[in-house]
Amino acid sequence: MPRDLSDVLHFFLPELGGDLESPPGHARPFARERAATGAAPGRRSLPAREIGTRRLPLSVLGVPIGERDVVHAAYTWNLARETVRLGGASAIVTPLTDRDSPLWSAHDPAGATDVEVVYSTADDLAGLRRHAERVARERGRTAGGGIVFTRIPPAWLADTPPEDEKPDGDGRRRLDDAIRWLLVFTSARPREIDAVFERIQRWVRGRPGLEIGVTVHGVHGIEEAREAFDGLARGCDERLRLPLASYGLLVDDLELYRSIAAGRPMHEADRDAPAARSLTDVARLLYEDARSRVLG
Amino acid sequence: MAEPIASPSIRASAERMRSRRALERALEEIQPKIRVVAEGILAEASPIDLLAVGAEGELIAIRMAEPGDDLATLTRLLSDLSWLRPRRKDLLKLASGNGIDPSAEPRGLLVAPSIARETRAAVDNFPADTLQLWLGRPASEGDRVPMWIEQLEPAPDRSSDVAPPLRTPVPDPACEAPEATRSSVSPEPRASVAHARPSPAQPSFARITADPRDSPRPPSADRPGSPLTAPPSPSAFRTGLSAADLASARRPTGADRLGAEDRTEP
Repeated sequence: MPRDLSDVLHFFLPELGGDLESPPGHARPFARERAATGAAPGRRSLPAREIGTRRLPLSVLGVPIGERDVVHAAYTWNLARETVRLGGASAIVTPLTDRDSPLWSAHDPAGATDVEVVYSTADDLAGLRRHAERVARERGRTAGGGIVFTRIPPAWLADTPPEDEKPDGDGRRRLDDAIRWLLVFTSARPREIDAVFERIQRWVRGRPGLEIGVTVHGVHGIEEAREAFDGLARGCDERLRLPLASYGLLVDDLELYRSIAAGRPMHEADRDAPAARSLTDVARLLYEDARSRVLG
Repeated sequence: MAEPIASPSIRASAERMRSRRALERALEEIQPKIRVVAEGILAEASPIDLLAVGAEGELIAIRMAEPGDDLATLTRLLSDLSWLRPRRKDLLKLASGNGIDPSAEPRGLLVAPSIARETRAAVDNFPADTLQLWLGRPASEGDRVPMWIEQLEPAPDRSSDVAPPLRTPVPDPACEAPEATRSSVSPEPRASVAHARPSPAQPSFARITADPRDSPRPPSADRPGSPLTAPPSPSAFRTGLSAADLASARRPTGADRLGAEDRTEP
């Protein structure tokens, strides 16, 4: 008789493939438990589910970041690190033109071997997405879920969708192959919320399948973030019929800016700092959603 | 139509009807975009005095409270919102000419001769305009108006029960249609009262007339200070943090830092 969730969860987990012993520590807790107990051997002999080939083992999360937006890039880099801390795999895929920009180079390359920044020669959204998917498949062989953070130049999203993102003849969009999941940062300032709304409006115009999540940053409390998110979500719902997902908040904390300036992870400064806690919370929400996407 | 359970006598019932009609006339006068479409609709366990449709097609449950009964009536009003929400499409089918928008969240309007401090505090928890409090008092004998009503605006302080002077004159509805001619759901929207508009010399009247829902709001245009923003629907905001997680000793923020740097500049 199953004793706890880990005894039965393998019935619902995708067959990710790869060596069960190779993932680090807590990366695949349920797979390791299954190997140790030998539970449900019949299930393991089944052919890999379609999810293993059709769906990516890691989720590709697009993050629109301007070429000089070092703050949002720093958030993204810290979230990628947090994803690893939570037991997942992560990588950052970004256009090759970023190699000479301060977006990623400022972050401690010597100590951060767990988050790789992958430069892509793609010069459009479709190419960038394909590169991100390759990274997702490679990292997925040895990881129990995670996120490939993909820096998208905002102008690429505003462009006309490439041919392989356009709807099929019957009007349906081939969502499995398109950029679907976006993370957007916004402050609680009304002007920025309005600007973010305008950007989202442009993005979804040609890509109705987009799923957009929002993290509110630079706030001093939960209510401030909630108000900001609710205002934006209401606008998107009423005017665009687009439900927004919430990915928490990042508090305004001097320690955060010090970390950004120094290019070091937030948690190395002070794990109990409100900024560090909120960062972990955002990463957890993203990671849980990423796992849900893999599980279907 | 069902009458209030608490109204045992025909006389009380008739008085209630007269009050409803007077309130309807008063609302027509100062809130012309609110169209009363039904009267005495039995909701969960008691009748809604007036059911109206707002400017955005939202259903509005309107209840009148007896003196000292505003808090209990507020509870019934909240129940009305829950009762109405799943019935919006049905009401649209029943009365398609009334401009009901089934996607618009219902809201409530409570009219009472005085509003207790607890009632005001309770309403402050809800998004702006979801629940409105109005002071209302039947006119005395000899008055030329059927009812005095005035919207109660959110008060900055809650120091006492509120019963400010009522200054909203409403013409006497001498030409009221007989009760028998009314239907529970009007087939067509009622025409707004065009005469006896407020004059500029009545600032409080003008303030009441200004309906904040008339102008489109940007996504971020929420009432400052409200615990929630304006959406009537539940918030989808997610966080695993509590206030305590963020309440460790007040740390200097980025804004503080920027302010400090600003001050160091010559």
